[in-house]
Amino acid sequence: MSRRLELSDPHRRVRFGLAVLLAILTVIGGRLVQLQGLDGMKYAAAAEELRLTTLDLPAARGQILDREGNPLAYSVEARAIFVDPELITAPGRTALALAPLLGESADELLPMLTAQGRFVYLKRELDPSVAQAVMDLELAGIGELVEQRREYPAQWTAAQVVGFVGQDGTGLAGIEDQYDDVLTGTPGQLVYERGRFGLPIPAATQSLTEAVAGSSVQLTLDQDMQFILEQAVATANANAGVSTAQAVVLDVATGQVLAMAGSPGYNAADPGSVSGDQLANPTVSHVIEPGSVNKLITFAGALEEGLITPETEMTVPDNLAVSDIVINDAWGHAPINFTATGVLGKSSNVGTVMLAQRLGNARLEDYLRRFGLGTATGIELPAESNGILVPHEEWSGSQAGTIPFGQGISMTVLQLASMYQAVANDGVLIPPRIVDQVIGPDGTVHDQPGSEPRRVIGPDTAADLRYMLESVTNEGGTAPLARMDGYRVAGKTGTAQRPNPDCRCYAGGGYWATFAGFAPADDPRYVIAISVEQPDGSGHGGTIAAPVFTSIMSFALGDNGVAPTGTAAPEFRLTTDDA
Amino acid sequence: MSALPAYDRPTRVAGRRTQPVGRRPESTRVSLQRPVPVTAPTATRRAPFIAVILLIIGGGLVTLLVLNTAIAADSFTERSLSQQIDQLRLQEQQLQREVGTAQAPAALAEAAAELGMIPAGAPSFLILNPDGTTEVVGPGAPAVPVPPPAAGGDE
Repeated sequence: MSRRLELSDPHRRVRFGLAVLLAILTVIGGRLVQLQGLDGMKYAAAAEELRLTTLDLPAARGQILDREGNPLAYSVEARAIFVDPELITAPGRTALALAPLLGESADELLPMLTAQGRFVYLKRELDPSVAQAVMDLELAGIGELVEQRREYPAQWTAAQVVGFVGQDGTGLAGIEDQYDDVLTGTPGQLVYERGRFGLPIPAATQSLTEAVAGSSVQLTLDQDMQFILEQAVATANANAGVSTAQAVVLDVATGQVLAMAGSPGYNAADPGSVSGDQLANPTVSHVIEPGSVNKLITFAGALEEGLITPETEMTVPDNLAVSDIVINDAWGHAPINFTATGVLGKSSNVGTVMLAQRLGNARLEDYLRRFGLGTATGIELPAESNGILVPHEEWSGSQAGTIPFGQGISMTVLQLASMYQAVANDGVLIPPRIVDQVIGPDGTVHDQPGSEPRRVIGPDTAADLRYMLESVTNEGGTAPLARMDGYRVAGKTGTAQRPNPDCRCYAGGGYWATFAGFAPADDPRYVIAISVEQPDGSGHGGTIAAPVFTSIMSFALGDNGVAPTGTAAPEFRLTTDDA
Repeated sequence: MSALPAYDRPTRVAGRRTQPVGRRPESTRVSLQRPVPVTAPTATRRAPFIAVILLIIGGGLVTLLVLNTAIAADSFTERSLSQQIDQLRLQEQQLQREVGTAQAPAALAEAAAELGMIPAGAPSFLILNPDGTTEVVGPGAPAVPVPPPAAGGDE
């Protein structure tokens, strides 16, 4: 009764109702403050997190171009197909469905589909169209990723220079390796809010960091000349007993490398198919003992120091004792009254050593170093060798007798070409370079600093040397095979003994046949150096290397429209018996 | 009191600019009396005002809806267009690849050989002298069929 009485009291009733209402409101209000105020930021962030999606935008790797702008390496968009093995319910059926599209057998795919873990690449570097066909199958647990694939359209051509990239897209050899930083771009990112169907929500938060493509590298190589050169070294390599042949073409006026290769080479699009030691660029990383092509420097020194002129007469026997060894000429003969030109033209070792003795070891070493031997040229390629040139104080007695004609000293074929470039270029050596320019993603051209030309001999000495070198390819010289119809050719042959790696001696090591020269002799445009390594052969520079020279040089001159100079070669006086 | 000059303004603008400043207090007094008639009518005069407001709100909502729909539709169009761009880009890439492969020296040599072409020897040059005479220099001989270089065959 009393309770009824209490409730029946309107004042109490109102106050009671108010208290209940206030209590409910306090609870609701408190919760509101908690959600909106205290934890508000957290919930808003979590909600945005659900909608926000980050899309990585890969940056295109720069191209590698030849001097004409033909692409030697470029990147295309590709896809990788991966599997989350935990989501695969019927591995056998999935493998059978994927096999024809991926070009693999189901047996090969099966272990990947049942592997441990949650991510396995099934196949990489696929064409997007193939990947689309795979995704259209709508198989659970199979996904695709965007990636890049490197294309080498010229395949074998210039592979040793261009190099290749690894699966992660970093350069592993050649220019791809040396210029990796330049070629690699900066990846971008797109962050956007995503709606229910994965579509970007219009007018919502978006932040786009554009990917910046890598710069392109333009080489000084001529793709066509490179192809011809590779054919020529392959032809030389086909001779009996030849293990490898190498050649380098330089532009006389600029020192730029127009073509370079060593056989057998490899396919840049498939570097995995050959052994690792075949992936190098032997023209810069492999040293040879040059043989008689090195006589050039002995003569350069003797001429420059005024010890001889091309007409200086000297009586040369066919052997000469130096320290503990006897130097022989390649052929036996009674003492001959040579001119200096004749000593070079006939390639007399004894005559050359007689000149070197007048020059002295210190001055000889000085000239060798002036011509760049013993120091890497600084070309923009990885793993360049310095060559081997011991200081003259440490020369053994026999080395002092053999270095003048190119034994006991080692150089790369590139260094050999560079030596002759200096003579062809009036005595100014321009260290060879192979990168012409770097082109930014926006098309701006960054010229490369280039190399510092340096005078190694006077212009008169260079002119005398050109005259003497031309006698080599003319009547009585050692390289009639280097002669070309219509053009005057200057050059020098070499045949060096090759050390036998088994006994660390020369016995049974075979030979290097070398040739270096330029044309036209009276207005040189191109220098070519060649080395043919023959562990079992016995070909001479004049017979086995000179033909390689003419096949490359005739293409170089004809393709670039170099007309014969129309002048006739002078008469060469090789011995005093000549008129 | 600060509101007074605001009421004052229309009168002043309506009047001549040359009106003497001294007349100002009089016009102020007139404009103060103006609001008096506005307060007189009631609900009947409010109805059109509410209708206008409703119209504006309704119109705004409809416009917003139309705009939203348009934006959403555009985003679908954008998506399909960008898909088309992607597809065309891949197509371009494919075509460039074919061109690149076909213009590689080894491929060209092979294609030329298939057409029965043979490598030309050293060319001759036709020299135009300043006096108008011409001369031919160089070895220039007809090319002889030699086995063409094996394409891609550095092996």
